[in-house]
Amino acid sequence: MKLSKPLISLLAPGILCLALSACGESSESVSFFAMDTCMTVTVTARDADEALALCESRVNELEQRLSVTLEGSELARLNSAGSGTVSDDTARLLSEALALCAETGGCFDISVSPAVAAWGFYTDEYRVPDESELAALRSRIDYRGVHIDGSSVTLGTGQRLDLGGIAKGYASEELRSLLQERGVDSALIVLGGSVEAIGSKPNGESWRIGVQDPNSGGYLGVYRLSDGCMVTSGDYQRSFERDGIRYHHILDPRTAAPAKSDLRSVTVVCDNALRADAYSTALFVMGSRRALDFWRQQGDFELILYTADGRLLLTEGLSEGFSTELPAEVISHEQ
Amino acid sequence: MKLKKITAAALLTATALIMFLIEAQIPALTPVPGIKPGLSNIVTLFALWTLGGWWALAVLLCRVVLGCLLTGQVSAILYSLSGGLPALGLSWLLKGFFPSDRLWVLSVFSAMAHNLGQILCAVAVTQTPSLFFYLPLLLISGIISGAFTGMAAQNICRRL
Amino acid sequence: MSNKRWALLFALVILLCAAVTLLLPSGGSTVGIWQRGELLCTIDLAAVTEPYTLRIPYEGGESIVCVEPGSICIQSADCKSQTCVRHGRLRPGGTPIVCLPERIVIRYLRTEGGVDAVTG
Repeated sequence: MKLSKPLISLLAPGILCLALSACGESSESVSFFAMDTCMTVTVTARDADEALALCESRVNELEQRLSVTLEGSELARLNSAGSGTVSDDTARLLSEALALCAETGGCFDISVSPAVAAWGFYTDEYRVPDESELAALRSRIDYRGVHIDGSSVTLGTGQRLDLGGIAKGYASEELRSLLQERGVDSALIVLGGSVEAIGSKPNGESWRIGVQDPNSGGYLGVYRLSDGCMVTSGDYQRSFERDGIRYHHILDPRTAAPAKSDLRSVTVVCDNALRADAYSTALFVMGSRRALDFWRQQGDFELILYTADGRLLLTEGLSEGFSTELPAEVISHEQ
Repeated sequence: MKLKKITAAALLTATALIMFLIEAQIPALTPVPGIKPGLSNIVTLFALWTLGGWWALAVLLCRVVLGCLLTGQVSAILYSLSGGLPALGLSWLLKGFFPSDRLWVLSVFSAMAHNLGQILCAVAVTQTPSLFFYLPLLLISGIISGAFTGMAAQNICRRL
Repeated sequence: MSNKRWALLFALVILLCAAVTLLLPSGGSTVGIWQRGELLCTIDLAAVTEPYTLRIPYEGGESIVCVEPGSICIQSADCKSQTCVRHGRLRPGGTPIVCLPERIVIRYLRTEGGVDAVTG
């Protein structure tokens, strides 16, 4: 058959290539700006472009709804009116947030907004409130003053909510559901300092995530992450200096001032970014001792703590996946 | 007979398109842009050898325009042509120097021209001369894929 | 020339290219500069031989980016917080340099051998 041989010559390289390839998946990455930070999402999928566009628009949509500073947002309107109805999604998020406030004994508190405003963190016009102002602010901060009934929310007198402490974690989880619904099994979602991994890298290896060293541009160490998330709160992320004193942005809800913690950074490794985001803020405020007690009680997450005196503490579940050149103490569940 | 040639050219264009579309489904094997098997080049070479330069050019132009329109990447037309035209051009020029059993060598040269053309275009468009750093890698892939596609084309020409 | 000779010639060229690729700095030193989400340009820092500056203008001023062999940083900016200027040089796998009001982001395009992302 004179035709078959040339046909095979023609098709053979093509068939070989097809056999060698995965079915048309490509790895793409997009960077965009939202929630005051640079976000990068990397997806391996057939329609990676489309998936990424959806991620970006979802984050923008969330920001429109939940931002404290955007005038028309649900949260801004709730804050200025003191009460109101919110969408089902927002109501659910608020309930989850309040539960986290309770779980952390108020060390994470979504009603801390008046204090954030007073210190100037919303406008970058920093100032140091005096003690009487702080006392007044303290009386307005208490998550227990927030009541949710269905989709109707009522705030206590003078209260204002700020979901900044969980916004990125929440957005991260939303993107995770979005991508998983589309059948994506390999993705990396980096929203500012919150890193969430779906599955592993396309080549099967875990994602290598560096934990920033507060003292330098380098890393405390590198963790091999797959199917999970890492969120960090640190005193170096946002701060200002006045009269030789540095004030960072993680406020202690009980003092309405930057938390005086023995920690410089807290990284929570867990399977839910919303919890991780809330925990990282709360545990920073708690300080190393209470944070580790909390960890022993809850148990289903891991911690990387870096103290002000340069000690690196790792909870025992982490030690395998975490590699570091610094001397590290491994904390076990027993006291 | 012109009709025979038009028909042959049309068939070849269709074949090249199919290969192009198949290739478009294959994920980039490396992060470096431009490394692909170049299957449609088999057809272009075959057209050059059997129908002559002008017909091969027609097949190439039709395949690139149609292929890019079909895959929705209109911007890729420039990029494809920046590789395809030099490749065809060089093959056309050197055609006379190579006997039919060295067609694969011609194909290797045309693949290298293809890579060089694409990099030049990419550098000009993005204004990043640093892209030239990819050239050695692309040349390696070009030589290998050029050899294979060339041998395929050579085989077909021999049998027909 | 015989088929074998041609094959040998091409094999040599391949080896040469491989050697060149291994010896030259790879794309792991390529950075991207974005403004308001748009990629302005990519720069291969390893390919920079002489330092130069890039001016990125915007309403209210401009940022001056300093590009040197192997490093990049924002030299000056007309923004309130100056976090971008304080960031100093961009480190491989480290946090991107970000200038908020104008959403100027400078980061490595691909991290090689280092990390895929940084938390912190």
